[in-house]
Amino acid sequence: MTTNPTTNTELSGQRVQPTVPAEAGPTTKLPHYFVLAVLVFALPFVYLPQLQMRLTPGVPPSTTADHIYVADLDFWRRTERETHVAANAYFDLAHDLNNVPLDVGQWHGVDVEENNQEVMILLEPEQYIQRLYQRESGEYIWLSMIGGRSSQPFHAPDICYDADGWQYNLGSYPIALDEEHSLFGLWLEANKTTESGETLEHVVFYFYLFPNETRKLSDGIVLFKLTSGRHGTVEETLTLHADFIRNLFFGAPTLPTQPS
Amino acid sequence: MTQHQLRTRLHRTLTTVTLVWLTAACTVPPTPTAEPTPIVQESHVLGSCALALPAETTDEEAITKVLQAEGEWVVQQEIDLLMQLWNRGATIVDAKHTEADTTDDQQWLDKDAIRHRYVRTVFPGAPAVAAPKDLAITLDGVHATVTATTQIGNEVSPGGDRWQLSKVENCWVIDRLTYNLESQQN
Repeated sequence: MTTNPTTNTELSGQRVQPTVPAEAGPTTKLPHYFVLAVLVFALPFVYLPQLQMRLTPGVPPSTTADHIYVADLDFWRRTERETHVAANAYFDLAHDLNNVPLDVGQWHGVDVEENNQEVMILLEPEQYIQRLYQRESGEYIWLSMIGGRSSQPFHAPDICYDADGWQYNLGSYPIALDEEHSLFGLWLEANKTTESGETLEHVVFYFYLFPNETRKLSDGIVLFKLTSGRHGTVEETLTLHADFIRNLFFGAPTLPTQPS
Repeated sequence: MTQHQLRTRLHRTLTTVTLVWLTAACTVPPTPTAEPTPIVQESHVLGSCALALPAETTDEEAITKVLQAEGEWVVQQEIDLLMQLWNRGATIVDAKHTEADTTDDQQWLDKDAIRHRYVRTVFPGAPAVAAPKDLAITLDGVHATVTATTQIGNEVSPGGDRWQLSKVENCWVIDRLTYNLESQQN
């Protein structure tokens, strides 16, 4: 079914006509001009958001400087833990992941080059960032961000730990971003005894970030992974990770927009 | 027609067109936004009640059907259906062929971890067959323990699996799977 603009105009004209006297004088035109003035005044408010969207495609119409992403435990299919998060840096492949700040709350980071070339050969990531963050109280956290547009760069960390002879337990953990929003990630508590008898312990926390709700691989995915030693219990260590994450991610009140 | 009438008619026409245009502007559909994420409800814990079993089905039959469904849905990679079989707080344990020694056990704690194990460890193997056999069911009220031989693809684990289930709201659901219970063959 199509609408007929001519008919609509005529109908609208019929509705408008009776309100305008046949011989309307200058005094009766005043309310008319007032209505026109109000509508003209309203026009920018109607079109401005669309104009803004066209000028800045992909950026959510947020009133804050935050960027909104979809976070989830897996990239194959949505899980019930999928959520929207706001971030104070870009975590997508349209931007250089180096934009993520080196100073994150009390944490100060330095870039660390990946020396294991096998990682790059095996994963073929589009972007790969590895940083060591420390805070004055002595704790450290490794941040790895791996970006790609296929499934190849996204080996589940537990598979890699398993292949390298680590023993691990795996679970999920919600990081409260505010009173209403939580960001779920998978945690891994891994340990390994080296040939020299040294016991290594890692606590890993990770999740995936998508630039929009379609979650197409071709739009790019970023794996956000934190690794640290164990500080007390696993839960206490995850609290440490949460402190880091809460300086980058926040509860997102709005849905992200589709890229144009 | 006088000049005044002509001006008035022209004025009306212009006003009407302007009003229609402005009114239309106010009703321009909003910029298309993403379809809201289909709200993925927390997966229901349905267990045997997801299988539409006849009312006269016994506990043993219901438990058997749950484990058979688990095997079939692994082959079909039906992750959402699989997750309905597991109870909240469920666990999977790899006993690493050392049943007596739990220090080397590897655990997937709760449903997010179990889902992850299916998707990232089990499904990539694309098993063509995943059927429990030789089920030995021990019932203890609303709890049941089942030892089974599982064949996943070419891998056969005789007596290597122990399933623990419980009856929740008249539905049998899986609480725990411990696998690799059999001793390592040299």
